[in-house]
Amino acid sequence: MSFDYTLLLPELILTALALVVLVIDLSLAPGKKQSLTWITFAGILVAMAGIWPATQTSASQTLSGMVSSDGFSIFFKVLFLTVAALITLASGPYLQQKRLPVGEFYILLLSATLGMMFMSGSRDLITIYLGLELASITSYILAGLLREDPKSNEAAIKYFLNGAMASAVLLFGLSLVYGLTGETHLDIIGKVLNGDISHWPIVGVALVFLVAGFGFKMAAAPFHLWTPDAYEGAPTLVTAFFAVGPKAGAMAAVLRAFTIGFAASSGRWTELFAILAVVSMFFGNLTALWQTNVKRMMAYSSIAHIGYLLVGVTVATTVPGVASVMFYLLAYAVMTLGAFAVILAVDAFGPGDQVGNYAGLATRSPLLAWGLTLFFVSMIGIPPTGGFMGKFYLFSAAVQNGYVWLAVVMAINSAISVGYYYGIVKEMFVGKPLETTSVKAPAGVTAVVAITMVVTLMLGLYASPFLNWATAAAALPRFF
Amino acid sequence: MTAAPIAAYILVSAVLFAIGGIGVLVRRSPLAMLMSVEVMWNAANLAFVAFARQHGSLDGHIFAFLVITVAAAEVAIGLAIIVLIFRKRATVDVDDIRALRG
Repeated sequence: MSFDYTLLLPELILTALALVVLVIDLSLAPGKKQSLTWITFAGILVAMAGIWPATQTSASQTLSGMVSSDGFSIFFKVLFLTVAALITLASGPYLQQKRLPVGEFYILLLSATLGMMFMSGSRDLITIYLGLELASITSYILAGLLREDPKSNEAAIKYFLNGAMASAVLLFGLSLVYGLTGETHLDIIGKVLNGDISHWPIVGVALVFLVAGFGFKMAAAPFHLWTPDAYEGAPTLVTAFFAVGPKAGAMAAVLRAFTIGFAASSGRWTELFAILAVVSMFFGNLTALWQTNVKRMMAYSSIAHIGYLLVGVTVATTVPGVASVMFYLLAYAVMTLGAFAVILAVDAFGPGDQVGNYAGLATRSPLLAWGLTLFFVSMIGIPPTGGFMGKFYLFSAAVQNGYVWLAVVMAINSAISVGYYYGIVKEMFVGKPLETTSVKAPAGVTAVVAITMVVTLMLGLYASPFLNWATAAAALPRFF
Repeated sequence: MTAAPIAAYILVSAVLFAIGGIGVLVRRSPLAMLMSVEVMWNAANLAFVAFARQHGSLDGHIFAFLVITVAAAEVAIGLAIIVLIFRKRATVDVDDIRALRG
């Protein structure tokens, strides 16, 4: 029994921050809430500094072993807090322009981040479920934050109904696991299931439920139906968060739950994830080719990227497999946030969110145009970018473990994805602009574009420190 | 009085889950869909409590309590969203909510 609260310091700081924002929001007059942006931003940086004490102690589990703060969860905490910080940095003028409730936005963003941090640190089914629900319920509200916009309402109701059903499916799977093992702690579940019991058909049924439940949360095809609508209807800033945060959270929970709890049945769930990977890659990339709305196109593109990540999950029984997923998540988070910062600038402070609105962006706002080009190059997987290194590690992890065909499917899909990314790049550099004035992107959005450009290139050119970090972190959570 | 075997509880739970699942797929009113999802959650709850009794451990009971709490929060959000939509269009049939397609 240990209740070492220094290990939970980032979570505690984030909770306190959300409450502080709530109180300050009430005391500020409407229209005078710009200071909240900087309070939130500073608070997130403090929470990130709060990770430091946890790295200094030898203890790694707290709350009676339900939550662990090992290298794996620290990697993801850094990732989630960085995502939250970048979203906050880009948020101020956008919230004002769209007349979104400022305080509510930050509280929901912080709560969702908190939920995701618990998902990555949990060693117990109960805390995984609670973290997932905290992240999901706040996401439903975030999707519907544009109250006057029927599209935003529709995004919220669709996300909510699909999400609630997926939670029920996941919960039923969890109850079967509990019934089989009599335990909710992943380590003990792993020990109990390690034997003849792992061949029982009911274990397969439970795994199907769990894979479907988590597959929904990370928007893998065929559980993706809510994704395009939620992405298109939600405010662009929220879409940027959806594209990265909840997906990474679900991925972290999947990596830990399946490699520890179901290590003995790995033959079954790797097959399931391989199927999801292939379906997601082909469906995402082929459907993205027909899209005229950029946010919708990015939704399908994100489904395809989840497909690439699931290739890594398929070989997550090995350390390089887990490490390649973590590295790709890092690269994916950076390039996706960068791309969405540009999309947000063109949508809210420029012509709109259709592909045609990007015509001549290269002459109007060169930084945004070149930034978006770099992010798309990274998403396709062309060197010298983080996306290339990420795909390379996923590729080699798959090949090393005998999944050559999966690696080939991934390469084919990278080629297909050139089609829709190129459409926008062509529009930006060749298309005739309707206006000649530059897109007035706020300083915060421009800063996010610049930061993510630098990091995307850094992940491509100096990948080894990041990969070593991911590998060291990936080696920690397993016990087999 | 003899207790029913564990299999009976799990059978009821599975049937409830299936009824809820079919309800979500067949019904077109978000309210009815929400109720169907509730049935699915409670199917899982029934399984948790039955298994907890079987294993003689408290974890399942705790899990069921937490699920009830989370479900209350989730319903509050869901009803709020449905009210928001109803105020605008005076209909809550999901087939009419289709501004987003493709």
